[in-house]
Amino acid sequence: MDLTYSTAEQSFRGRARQWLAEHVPGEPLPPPYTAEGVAAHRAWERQLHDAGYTALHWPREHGGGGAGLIEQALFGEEYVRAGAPVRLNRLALGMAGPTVMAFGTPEQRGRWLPGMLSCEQLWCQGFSEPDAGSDLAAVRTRAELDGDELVITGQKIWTSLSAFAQWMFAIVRTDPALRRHRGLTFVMVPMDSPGIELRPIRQLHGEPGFAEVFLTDVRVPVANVVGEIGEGWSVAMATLGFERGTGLGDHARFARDIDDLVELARRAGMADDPVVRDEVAARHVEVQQYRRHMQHVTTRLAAGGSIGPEASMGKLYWSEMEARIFETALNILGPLAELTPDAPLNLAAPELHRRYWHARASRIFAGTSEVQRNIVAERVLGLPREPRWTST
Amino acid sequence: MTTYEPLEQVVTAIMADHCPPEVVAAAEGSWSPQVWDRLAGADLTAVGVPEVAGGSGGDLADAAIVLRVVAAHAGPVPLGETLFPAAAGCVAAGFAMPAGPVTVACGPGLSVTRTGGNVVLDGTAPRVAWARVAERVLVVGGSPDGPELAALVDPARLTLANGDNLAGEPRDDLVVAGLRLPAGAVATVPRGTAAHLYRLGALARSVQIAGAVGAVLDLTVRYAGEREQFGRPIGRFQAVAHQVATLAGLAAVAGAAADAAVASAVRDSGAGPASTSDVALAVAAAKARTSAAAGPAARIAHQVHGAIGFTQEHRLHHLTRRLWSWREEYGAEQHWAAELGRAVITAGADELWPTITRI
Repeated sequence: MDLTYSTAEQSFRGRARQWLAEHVPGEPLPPPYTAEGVAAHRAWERQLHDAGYTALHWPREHGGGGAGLIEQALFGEEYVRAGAPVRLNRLALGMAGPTVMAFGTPEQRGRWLPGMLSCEQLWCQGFSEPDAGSDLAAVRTRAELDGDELVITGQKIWTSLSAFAQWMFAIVRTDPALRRHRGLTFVMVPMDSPGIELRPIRQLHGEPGFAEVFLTDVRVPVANVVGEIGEGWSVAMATLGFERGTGLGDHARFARDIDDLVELARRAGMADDPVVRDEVAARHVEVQQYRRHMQHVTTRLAAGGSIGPEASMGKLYWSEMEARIFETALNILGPLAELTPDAPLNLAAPELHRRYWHARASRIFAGTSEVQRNIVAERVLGLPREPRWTST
Repeated sequence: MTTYEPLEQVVTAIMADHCPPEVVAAAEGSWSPQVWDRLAGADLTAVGVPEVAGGSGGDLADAAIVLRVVAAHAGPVPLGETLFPAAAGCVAAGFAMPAGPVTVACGPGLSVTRTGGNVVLDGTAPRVAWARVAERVLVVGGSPDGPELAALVDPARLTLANGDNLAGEPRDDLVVAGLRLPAGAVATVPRGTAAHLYRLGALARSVQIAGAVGAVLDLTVRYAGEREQFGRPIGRFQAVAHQVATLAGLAAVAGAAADAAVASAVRDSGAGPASTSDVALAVAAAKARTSAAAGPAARIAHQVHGAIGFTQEHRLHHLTRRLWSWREEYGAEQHWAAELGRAVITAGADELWPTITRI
């Protein structure tokens, strides 16, 4: 593991830091689940785009930054350090875009990639269904071939950003005679198609932003299929692989959380409490371990290695660690100031409240901790596979 | 124990009929007078309060049965405060219990002092449970060297900054500056009463946590048996089954700790407010254990429920958000663990085993 940075990398970091210092909005943007928030984030994304920072990880031929992994990680760190806004089109840049580059035709690349980069087109993900969560291969949304169109009927759920997205990348069942992983197709669906209806889902902490997407006889040209019809499972697995590999430099936000914990402990008058000190120190060590792990992964990838099922270890570790960080915040606050939005001590870290709730969901989305552990056990460690029950 | 079963059934029937999830959701940021009235109509809002004080008789064990069931339904009513610290405080002060909900404000920030023929109330109390919807607030305080005094005060005469806990239950910051009360509205109570009432608040929360964790376990077992992924109920995956088993253990521990403290309080009901009494240790143990169980129980329940448990329309969060709040209220795990540790160390090594086996 090489933990030193070259002169070029250091100067890249310096430029990024300076650009961010000059451009990051002084006031937090409104949250990106309102029309106003989406507009504000789009404007920010446009600035990033003009400066060439939108998609450092994309190759230059597709309009990306063509940056190496180390630079991506450095930018990620600087981005968090600067307190810059959450990224708006992550599903496009991190998942749909790389999928189109890997499996799409030149025509498809030209058609979708520029809009992803400029954030003119926002993307949402149509994988989960009521009966297909962890068990993604149970997807039932049906797509029938009718001439040069697919006619799609079914239901997607837990669809973030769907109210504002122009496109959804989805997996649908094109051949009902085939079971499970076979007979699936990966297709891009315009969200303004006739037959699409959204029903918002409110989350337990009251934040909107999720919806169910109902599709009734939605007609989509076959030209929107990525990969071959019936080969959607391998395309979708590649998409999820891209997702699990994203977030280089994300560890920096956990380091910021530790700073917040320390500040919180001081303000709450708990900085001398031995139990609190032990807990905060333990969280700090965990974040540093995670940081080292990510540096290790980054340098290995930069040296031409690949990341496969090991990516599950990173997801499992950070999501569990994140939850512990906010448990510690609660323990520091104690009985007089719960982590409610109006808790006076939250002034130390106004984001703590939202992040605390979000951490509850982190262990569930993008593959539950249980699914990740299974992947580590079976595919990293080579333990025997859990007996499979095939659904009918 | 069998004599208690009818009471439990009565409360369960009322809550099942009149406190469905929609009622709980609608009461957020306030309370449900309708649920309170239903319980009051069955004499359940004065259970455990002596009849001479205007109660419906029974003891604290009966009150605990009612409170536990109400908590299992996330009942948005100030029953814990009314039946535990407020009832005990009214008895100690010789006040008749008001008919409506009563909460308690006691703590180092409040002073109640006699000046001439009047009594003056001063100070602040943070996050007083249900203050803005209570019929009366029982204020207990005193000066460090003087006696403790108690008064039943109409919340309209207090300045309240409205706040809510994570579950939307009112928790209001109370400020009172030079409020004069006629001497007759005030009673002298034994020293240590304020601390004792705080302890009874902790006991109430222990009982409530036990009830909510039990309900969370029921929901989780049901969901793990119904939800199918990979062609079978997810409860048949060992990774899930083990978590549910851990949750069952947490529910058992929370229930046992709360029951033991309630039993101790019933046994020791004449012992007074001494902080070294067995009941004080039992309550410290109960709140430490139930608070410690609340977080992991909520975590497991949400993990097993997956995304559906994170939605507003699912009722799981009515219980889990209460667990996350209740574990902090009236002293979190660390507070009571430290209290327990101090008491045991002070008593010395020779007292350890007798203490453990006695309580």
